Amino acid sequence: MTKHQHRVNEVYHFFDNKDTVLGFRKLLDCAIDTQNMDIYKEAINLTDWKETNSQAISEFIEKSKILLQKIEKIKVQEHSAEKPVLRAKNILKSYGSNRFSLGPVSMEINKGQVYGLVGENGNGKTTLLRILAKEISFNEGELNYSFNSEPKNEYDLRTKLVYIPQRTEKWYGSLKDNLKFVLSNYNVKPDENEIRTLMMIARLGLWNYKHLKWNELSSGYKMRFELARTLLRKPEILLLDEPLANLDVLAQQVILEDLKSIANSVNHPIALILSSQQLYEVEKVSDKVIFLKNGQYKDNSELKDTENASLIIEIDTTNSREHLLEVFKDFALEKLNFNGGVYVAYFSAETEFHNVITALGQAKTDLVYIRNISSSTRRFFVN
Amino acid sequence: MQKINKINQYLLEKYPTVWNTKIVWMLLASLLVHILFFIIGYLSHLDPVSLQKRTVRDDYFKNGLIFIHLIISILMIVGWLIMMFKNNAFKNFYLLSRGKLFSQFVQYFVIIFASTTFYFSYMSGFKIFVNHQYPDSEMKENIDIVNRSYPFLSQNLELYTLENRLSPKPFYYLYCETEIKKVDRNKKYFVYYNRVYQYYTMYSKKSYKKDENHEYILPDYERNRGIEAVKSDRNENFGTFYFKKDVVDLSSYIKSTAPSYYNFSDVFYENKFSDQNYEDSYDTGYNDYNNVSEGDLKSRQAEINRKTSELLNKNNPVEIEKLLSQFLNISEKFKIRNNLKAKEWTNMVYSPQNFEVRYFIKTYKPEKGEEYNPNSSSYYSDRENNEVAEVAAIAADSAAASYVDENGTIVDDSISIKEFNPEINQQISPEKYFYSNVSEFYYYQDNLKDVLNNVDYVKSEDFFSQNIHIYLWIAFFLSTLIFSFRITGLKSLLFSIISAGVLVLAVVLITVLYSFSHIGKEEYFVSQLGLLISIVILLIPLLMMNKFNKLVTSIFVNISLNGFVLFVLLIFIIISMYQRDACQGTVYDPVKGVGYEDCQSIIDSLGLFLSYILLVAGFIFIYLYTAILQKWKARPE
Repeated sequence: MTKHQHRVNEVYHFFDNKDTVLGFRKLLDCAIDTQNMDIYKEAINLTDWKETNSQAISEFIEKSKILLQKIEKIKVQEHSAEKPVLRAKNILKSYGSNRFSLGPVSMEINKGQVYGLVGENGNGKTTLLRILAKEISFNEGELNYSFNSEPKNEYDLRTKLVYIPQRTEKWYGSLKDNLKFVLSNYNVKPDENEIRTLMMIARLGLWNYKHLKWNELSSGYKMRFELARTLLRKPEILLLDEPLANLDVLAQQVILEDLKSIANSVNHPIALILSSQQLYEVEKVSDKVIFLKNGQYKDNSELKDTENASLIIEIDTTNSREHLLEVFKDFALEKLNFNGGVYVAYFSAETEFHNVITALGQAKTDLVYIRNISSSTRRFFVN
Repeated sequence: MQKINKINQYLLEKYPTVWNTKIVWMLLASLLVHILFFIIGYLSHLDPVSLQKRTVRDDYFKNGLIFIHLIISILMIVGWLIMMFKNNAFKNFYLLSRGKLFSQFVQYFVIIFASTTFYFSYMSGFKIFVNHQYPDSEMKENIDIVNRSYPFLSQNLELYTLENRLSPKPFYYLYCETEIKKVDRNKKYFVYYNRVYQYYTMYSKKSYKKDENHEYILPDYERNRGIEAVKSDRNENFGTFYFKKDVVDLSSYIKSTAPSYYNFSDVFYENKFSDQNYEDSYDTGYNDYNNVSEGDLKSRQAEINRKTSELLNKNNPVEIEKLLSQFLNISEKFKIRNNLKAKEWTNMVYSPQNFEVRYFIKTYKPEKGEEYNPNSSSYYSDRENNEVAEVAAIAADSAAASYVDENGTIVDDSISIKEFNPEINQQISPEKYFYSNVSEFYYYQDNLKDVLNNVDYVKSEDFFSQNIHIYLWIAFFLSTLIFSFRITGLKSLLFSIISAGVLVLAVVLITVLYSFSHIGKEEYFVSQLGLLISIVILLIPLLMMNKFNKLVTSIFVNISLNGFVLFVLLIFIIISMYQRDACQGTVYDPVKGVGYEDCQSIIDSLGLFLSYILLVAGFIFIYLYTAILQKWKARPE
């Protein structure tokens, strides 16, 4: 079974479970992978039908499955993602005279991988992203890219490095025309232009927004349109600065899922680096989380070595510190920190998280929130 | 609307750059405005009265059309920029080859050129209208009739006196002496009141010597003996002087010395703008003189004289009336103000045998109660009427029989004129004769001349190649400016403008300081300093792109982009300066024994062709420079 067929089967499964929203997005991913204009047209028609007949769920599932059958039959060329698309070695950047310095940063990313870049404000996330996008220069180190086709010159290289800043520029004129303009600049066949554009609009859930003006869009949808514009350029690496800012929690989860699955395309995988403050959400989708503090680089792969060293739990409770100490007296508690909002408890390596929860439950502790952050970069924030 | 959308989508999918620059719509809009201006041009001079002014050259500017032109151009360009600025593939790092980048620039150029050159459509419309309304063949006929009728439009007595006569042939080759002092009383002469006429044969001599004003000087023999030349002409290598020889008796031809239609030899109108029209009609065999232009005019005058005499000799009033009514028909077509009637006019003219001028026609219609003054014609006070004015002045003094000589001093000549004309006191002076015989008829002949002149001017003038350069360069510089803005952004462009201004100021200041110590050499200093700075500015983006930060480099890029043609022009100017310097003074020609100047610099010899050279250089530069522009854009900050 090919990777493509495997994905199609997953989609069948979603539809069987009546997870139509997620299922349909995955279906469109599979459709996009086919690179077949007939499939694209049908997918577009189905999207249009879905938007006008939102109540007829069983009929929709039926139609989706018919399309899936067609998609399944098409052979999708798998793209190898073995070679890192970006390789940074000891990148160092300093601003002014010892005011702020970033790095050294060394990293590699392959296509299909998603890296999260986290850290507090002013710790160099945007700077690092812009360095990787060649938007700004760096002082020391090496930065190498490896794309499907060798760039002809510097400008050609920049056309392949796609960076979306946190504040995107306003679009003028029709949104759809802006998207089509991208494709025609990238020499897409004129008769495929409209179809590919609509397919992207459908995939990013912008079907009902495509006739609006830029000013009529909420910031979340602006981000989505910006993403659509970017993805039409078929980037091999995508650098996103705070794509989750100004989004509600649900929208954050949806867009992260979308990004993850787009990056994981069978046909055209993308190396994706995104910066965010939303640690939990980012950790969920990322293959690696990079934490920047005062320009210093740490990532969660380092944590795996120290994983056995201790169990770290974050607790939000209305109970007092004494109450917690009482509960944890039987455990090998190393220290208990309170940073104003939450408690962070450090236990020795042998302590099990479920035992801690059981103890808290038996002591009838009033828990608002509890989380094991042993292997999360969250540790660095609460430290 | 749907069609427009369809075309837009087609362009968007197939030719993104064309879609972005909106060139299709801009050219279409320009075409409409061009058609509008063509129509305005065509209709602007429907009324021939509009041609009755000294020149129609500036009508486009004087009648306010230039403002409409400016407003439309500005609106079009601003509207276009708003539309075009919506998208910028280069700024967003979309795939954009050098060719596409260059084609963007070319499109800007074409759009701006198309939306600023309505003047040409207006003039084309005007020209086509004139060609259509006043076809060459018809005009040739009209001018012939006008020129043949003009002798009968007796508005100026001086044109009918004896010295004007050029036909039959003896008159043509002879010199008519009219200065009393120079007339030989022992030979045959003619007298009309206080004027004397004596005819001489002539001989000519060539001269190669020039005085300090580069004028040819009289041959030694004549100069030493104080013999005055009666006329002269010059060409590149020598001057020809003519001198009086022997008196000829022409009494067999001259029946009366009074003003007569037989004497009239003035050409009312000839086309100054093309010499083709007259070649065939005036081949009269009078072209013996070397001086072609003067000979031409004189032979045409003689031809008028001959034709008039011929007509008068026929002694047929019907034929005269036919000619005059043709003339009046033409006048009516051109809406020339007059109150002449062919019949009455013929009666005024027709006085068999000598055809002396018995009545005169006014050049304008005096207001009620106003006295006719030939000096204040409808609007030109500086034409032939001055002669009449002088005559009138003399008339006032004629009782004292004195006249004002050419130096302005009053010379008492009463004795000498009486020796020529003993009966002068019984005769009526020409001035009184004019005033007592001026009729109620008037004819605005200046207006007719203007119409003919303007028609030929519009037909022959090459408005296009004369004015194209200014529009080409407006389009070019606006295009480079917009191109700069699209490539480097507003901030860089503003900084570039400021930097360029500061640079110019600095160069001026340095030059001023320099001129304190090296007087007279500023020209070379400033041009060489300019050259040096230009080369540095041009080289920095080429060789040291990564040396300065991106904003600083963008200033050099912008100045290079906008100033390259000026740099090439500067090189031409410097070359010319050295060329002129190298050949200061005159070159001496030992064969002819004369010195002449030969300082043709490269700019002089190229002329307006230089403009095209610069333009092509500018385009080639921008094409090559697209590589630098891409390199600059790709640079990290």
